[in-house]
Amino acid sequence: MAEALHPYLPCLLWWVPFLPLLAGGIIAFLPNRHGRLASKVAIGALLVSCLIAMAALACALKPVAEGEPYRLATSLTWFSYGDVALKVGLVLDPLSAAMAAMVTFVALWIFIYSVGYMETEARFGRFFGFLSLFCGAMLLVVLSNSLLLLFMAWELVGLASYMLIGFYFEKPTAAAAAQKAFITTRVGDLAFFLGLIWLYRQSGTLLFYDHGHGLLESEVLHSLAGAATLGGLAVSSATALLLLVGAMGKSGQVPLHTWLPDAMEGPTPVSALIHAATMVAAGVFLVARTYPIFGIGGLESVPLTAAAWVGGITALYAALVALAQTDIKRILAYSTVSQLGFMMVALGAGGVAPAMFHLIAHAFFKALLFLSAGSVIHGCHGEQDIRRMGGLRAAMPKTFITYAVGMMALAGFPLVFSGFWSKEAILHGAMNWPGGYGPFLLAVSAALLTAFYMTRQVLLVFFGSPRQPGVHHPHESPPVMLIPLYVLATGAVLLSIVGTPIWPWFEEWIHGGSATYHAGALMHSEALRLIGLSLVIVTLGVGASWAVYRRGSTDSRAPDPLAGPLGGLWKFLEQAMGFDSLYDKAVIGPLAFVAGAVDALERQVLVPLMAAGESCIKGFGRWTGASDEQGLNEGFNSLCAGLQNSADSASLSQTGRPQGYLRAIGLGVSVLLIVYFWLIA
Amino acid sequence: MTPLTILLTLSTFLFTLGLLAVLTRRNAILILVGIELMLNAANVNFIAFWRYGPPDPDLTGPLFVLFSIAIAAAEAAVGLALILMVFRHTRSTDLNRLDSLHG
Amino acid sequence: MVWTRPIGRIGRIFSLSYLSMTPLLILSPLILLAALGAVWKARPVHAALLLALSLALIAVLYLTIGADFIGLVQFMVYVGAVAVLIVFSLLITRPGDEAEELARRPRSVVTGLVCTLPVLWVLVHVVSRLGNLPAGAVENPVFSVAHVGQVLFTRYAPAVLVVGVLLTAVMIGAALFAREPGKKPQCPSDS
Repeated sequence: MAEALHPYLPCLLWWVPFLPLLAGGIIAFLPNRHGRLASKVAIGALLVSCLIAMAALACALKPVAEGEPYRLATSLTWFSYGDVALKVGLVLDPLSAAMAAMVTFVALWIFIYSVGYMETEARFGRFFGFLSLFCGAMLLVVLSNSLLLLFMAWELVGLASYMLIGFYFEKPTAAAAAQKAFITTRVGDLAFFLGLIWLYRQSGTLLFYDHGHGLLESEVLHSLAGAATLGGLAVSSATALLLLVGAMGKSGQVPLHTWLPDAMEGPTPVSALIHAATMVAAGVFLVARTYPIFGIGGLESVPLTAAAWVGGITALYAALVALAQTDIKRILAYSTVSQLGFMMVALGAGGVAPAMFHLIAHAFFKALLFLSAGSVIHGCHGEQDIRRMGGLRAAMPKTFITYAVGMMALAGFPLVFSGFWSKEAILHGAMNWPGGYGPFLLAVSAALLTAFYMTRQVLLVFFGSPRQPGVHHPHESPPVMLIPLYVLATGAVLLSIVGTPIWPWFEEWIHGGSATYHAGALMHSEALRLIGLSLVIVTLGVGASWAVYRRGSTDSRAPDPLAGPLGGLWKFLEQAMGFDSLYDKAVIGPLAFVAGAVDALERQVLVPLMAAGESCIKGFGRWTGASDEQGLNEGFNSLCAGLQNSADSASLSQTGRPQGYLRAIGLGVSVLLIVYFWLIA
Repeated sequence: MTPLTILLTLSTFLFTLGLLAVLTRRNAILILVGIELMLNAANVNFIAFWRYGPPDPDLTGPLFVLFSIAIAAAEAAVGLALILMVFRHTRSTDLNRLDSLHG
Repeated sequence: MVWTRPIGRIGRIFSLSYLSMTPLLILSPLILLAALGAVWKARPVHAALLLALSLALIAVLYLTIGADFIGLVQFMVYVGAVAVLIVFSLLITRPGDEAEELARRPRSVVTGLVCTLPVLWVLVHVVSRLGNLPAGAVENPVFSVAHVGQVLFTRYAPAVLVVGVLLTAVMIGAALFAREPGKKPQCPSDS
């Protein structure tokens, strides 16, 4: 069947991103009252897109040759100027096929969930329009064969994120959060664009795979490695670092992470889809896609080292901050940042496969966690503070089970959950990294803390007794919201099958090899050591948390048990280590000052100048008017009056008496004749 | 002192007197008197040159005078008729009172 | 009559046909005096009659010169018609106010002289410049009425016609002007 589909794939592949984009376009023109129709259009389009993506995945399963993964690249000329042409296209290889399938699948279930969650929303239709736009753009990012098309779709994804974070735009915090997200990712996008331009200038092409002339193919890679730039850095390293900065913005790495926690102002399905599963993964995906450029120079090349360290720092930082948060979604947001750090460590220290596996697994269980949190919030009638929750296990059992599954996957509960295996692969890679143990240690600490804070959250929300009984009446969510939870939970578990060392199918598939069944892989001492380490981490984390939070207090206003002993450190962690105030002082402050100065300049200097100029012109106008009035008019009038007076005077000679005239005639003629005679004589 | 000179002198002074009358008199009819004197002065001039000037078999002088007399008569008739008309309107022959065309 | 004997120096001046100049010498001053009276006298009727006198004297002058036809025409037209016309209009209009005329006289005379004397000077100047004209006269040039008629109606026929038309127009016009206003011309059959 895959062979039968193969000839149609280049055409079919374009429909995968365009169907959701088309749905978004149609919804844009639907009136607001047809919200249900909009949701049906969106879900229908995405369903078809998902089916095509699955079919493409099926086609991409077989490698072309040993060591050569399946690759189908299309390109078409967008526009040409002179003899240079800009080309765009789509590529289908294991990386993009897996991402496309994941994105469509997870997005589909989140759409279905949203039908229930956003039921009472007035702008129901518009929500689905934005979501469809986002899905289309994300799929374009994933399937793109051209760095330029990827960048354009990247920006489009950022736009959709802005519109969705600020969906409740009447709330000032939501509007501010949307702006913050857009501007912070813009900083990264600037670096991305610079890297893009540099690559184009150096290599003359922006296509990834183009019959041997593409960016990621050996010819261009050699030229990139050969060219050197300032500081002895190879062009490949420099451009890769620029792309890394772009990825850092989108994927919320320190220091461009500040927008992610605030992005929780958006509705919960948005948080699940965009800020957990897909958009934030786009940065990781970018690095994975351009990995050949990163990897020039070996496993400890400059960009890879940078990625590993940045990821490690981010992972630890976010895990520390997540300890002290009290908003259910914020904890999950920081946990997302932390896991993205893990993925960066994986890319830097391990390779594409562990990072992508963790990405896909994370997508499933983070989406699951967010949706379950949404279910909790929905059941608690909008309450989001975990200090005010408690004992929900009895009131919402199904939600509890799905949440627990997600939590265990995230924390890395052994053996059954995909999170365990993905984290284990990452730690394996970091441990064996030739660049040092730093990222490894950071990752281990972060994993410990992850287990700790996730357990804390579950204990505070679901266990104990309700801290505010009688105020909220929690209830279970309707099936339309529960079924997606089940599906995602199942996925979170089942994915583990393809990633274990016993059968490293995923890794082999990414790299184009054929996976073989290593029954005894787990018996390696190294593997066992690592599994043991993971077990220790998880147990330590969960146990410590259990010890601290087991006896949940009955008072919602009581301080956290750790607040006392940690004191100032707790406060520091609660403020997310002061990054926001740092940015405020260092960036926003000076900018606001400059803006104020320019405004003052305009107000005090330019506007008075303009007013002076205006009054000059007005004065000139008045002067010309006056001169016209007085000078010209009066002059003319006086001239006319003078003429009239002289005429009046002259007409006095017309006495009307004939004798007078005759006298004049006589006198005149005689005088003339006298003069004549005098002259002649 | 030829006859011609005498007649020319006569004509000159007659003309001057007629002009004086026209320019000085107040009564319209007496102005007409002055006009008649001037015309007669011209006639005398013509006759003088016919009689004492170069020979003229064409009788230019007298014939001119003939026409002049005819026209003078016509003019006197019309002028007096006009004066009578004006007299009916204004009850006066004073020419200075007919200044309604003044400036 | 022919004066043959010169009377000394004066006689030499008057040597040329003195006798033929005598009527001129007598009549000219008289004409001038009458004209002066016509111009000067304040009472209009006197002035009109003096005009008639001067016109008559001029006619006599024409007769003595030899322009008989013209002299007679002068009598008939000027003295018989024009002067009479003037007198009749004076009768109709009855001008009075000699006193006012006399009061105004100094100023108006001065103005009149100021305007007239240049004319006089010009005329005198021209006359004195006449130069060589035959001093002698054509001896008794005569012309008969038949001659006049012949010349009139052959050479000057158009002029005669024009003057005829003119006189007709003048007659009609004067009659129209002078009639009583508001009165319609009566048809002979009515009344």
